[in-house]
Amino acid sequence: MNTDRRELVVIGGGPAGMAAAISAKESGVEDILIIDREYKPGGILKQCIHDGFGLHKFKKVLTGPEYAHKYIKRLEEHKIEINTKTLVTNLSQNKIITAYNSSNGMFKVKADAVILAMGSREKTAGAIQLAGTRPSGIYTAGLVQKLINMKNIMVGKEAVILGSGDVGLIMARRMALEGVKVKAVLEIMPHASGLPRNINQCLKDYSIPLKLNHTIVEIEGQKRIKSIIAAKVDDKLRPIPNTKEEIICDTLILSVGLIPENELSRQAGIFLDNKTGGPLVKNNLETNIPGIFAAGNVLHIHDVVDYVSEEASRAGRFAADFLKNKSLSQDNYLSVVSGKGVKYIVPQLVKTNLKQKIYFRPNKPITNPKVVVRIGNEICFSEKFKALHPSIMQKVILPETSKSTKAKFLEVAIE
Amino acid sequence: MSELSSFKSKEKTLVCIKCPIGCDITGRFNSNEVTCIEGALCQRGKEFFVKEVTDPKRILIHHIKVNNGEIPLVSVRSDHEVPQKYIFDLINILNEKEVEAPVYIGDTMLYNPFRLGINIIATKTVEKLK
Repeated sequence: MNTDRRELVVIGGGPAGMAAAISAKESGVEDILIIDREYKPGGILKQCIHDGFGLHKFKKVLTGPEYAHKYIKRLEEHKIEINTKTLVTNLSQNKIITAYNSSNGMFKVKADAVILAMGSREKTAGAIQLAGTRPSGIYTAGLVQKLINMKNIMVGKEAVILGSGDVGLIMARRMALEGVKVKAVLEIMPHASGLPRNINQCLKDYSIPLKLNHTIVEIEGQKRIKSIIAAKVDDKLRPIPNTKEEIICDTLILSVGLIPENELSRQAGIFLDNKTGGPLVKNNLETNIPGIFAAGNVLHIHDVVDYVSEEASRAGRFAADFLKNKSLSQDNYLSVVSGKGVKYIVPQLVKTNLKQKIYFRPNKPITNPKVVVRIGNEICFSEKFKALHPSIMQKVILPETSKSTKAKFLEVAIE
Repeated sequence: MSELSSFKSKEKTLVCIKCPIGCDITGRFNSNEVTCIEGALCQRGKEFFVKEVTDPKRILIHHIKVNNGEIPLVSVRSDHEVPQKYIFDLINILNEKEVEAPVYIGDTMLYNPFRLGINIIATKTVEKLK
């Protein structure tokens, strides 16, 4: 088998991969290859036909495919090579990528630098230990989106949605528009996990009830799902027995979250953060393997694609720096730890002699909080926020400090 | 439906849909006008509130069947917001429609339906099936 040599290989041609490749090119990397398993670049944006993308980046409201198109055009202008319908099956520690497609068969590429942009996939019934049998008619929200918006396949007539993530809310509206009766959206937490505007325009517009503190305790049906049994949960998320209620439906849609897709990262020996599900990265989005970077949903789940593009552009620049031998030195990093009230943080390793952007997600909604950053036991930064919500990623920008420290940890806490 | 029919001053709180922040906007309005708006972080939010209590509008998103294309559907949207009450009528028209590939992003798929002053445009390119 021939092994091609490339300067930079980007795995994944979704929003992260496209933005990373474009910015690497604009930073002077000539030889770039994107590998994507679908028929066209754009990733999940192709099926996200609703609007609401691009407000930060383009100051304009675009649909998913329109947002993708802006990047596809720039890939073409920059003549960036992309192998579509090509599946990467292995990534090794020394940056050899094994892939195959139907025109070349199996092939290998040795890359000087790699950007991981594989995105994420949906949690399934198994992943959330959903109670009951497994008849047909149970789908994940993104799969329903693909079937309805890309393949012209309708999934059912009466649906219940479990989980109030944005994809689920968007699909509730889509199905209502397609003539499907959406009976309810059930959310186990006391707050919705999707954006407030989606609760309004996707559920309220179509009078779809949102039942907070509710989950599914049973699924009825042999071949096809016939109904679900919903129940209220207590403050420890345990179902309350006398609150059971049957909801007749032929379709159950799970919108219960995304998992960064890191099988290739694991093969390569990349260290993962069990809170984000993505690689542990330094300031420059580099993993523990020098020259392998990560951006987009493979790194952590983003709320808004604009931030995926932004992060991936940075990864593209950092990969270009690496290829020009301008990387950060490998020593003297502080580990970033999630303090009180913080669900997770990216990046997980920082140097404090640089201006820092630290992204974090709170573990519950809170108003008028103070975000406090400590190096060791010493407060180095604090900022007041009006409100924090788990569905909205936030950032603090730490000033550069030349003060040397013996501390090994930097803690971010919400107080 | 207009909520300005009553002469009495009403108060209402709406979640803004104009951006991911989703401000809670509270406003007072009577039959003639919106008299007071609070909670919007930007001008777009204020405009949203006024429109929402007078004539709510949305961007229509749907798809049209494509024959001989690399995929069987092209996604479409209205190029401007349409009154909410027309949404399902427009969906019915789009459900009946079929086009031949190729379709290019930005192509007008339906011109000025119901004389609403909007067009339905393609939001992606669907190439002809090779």
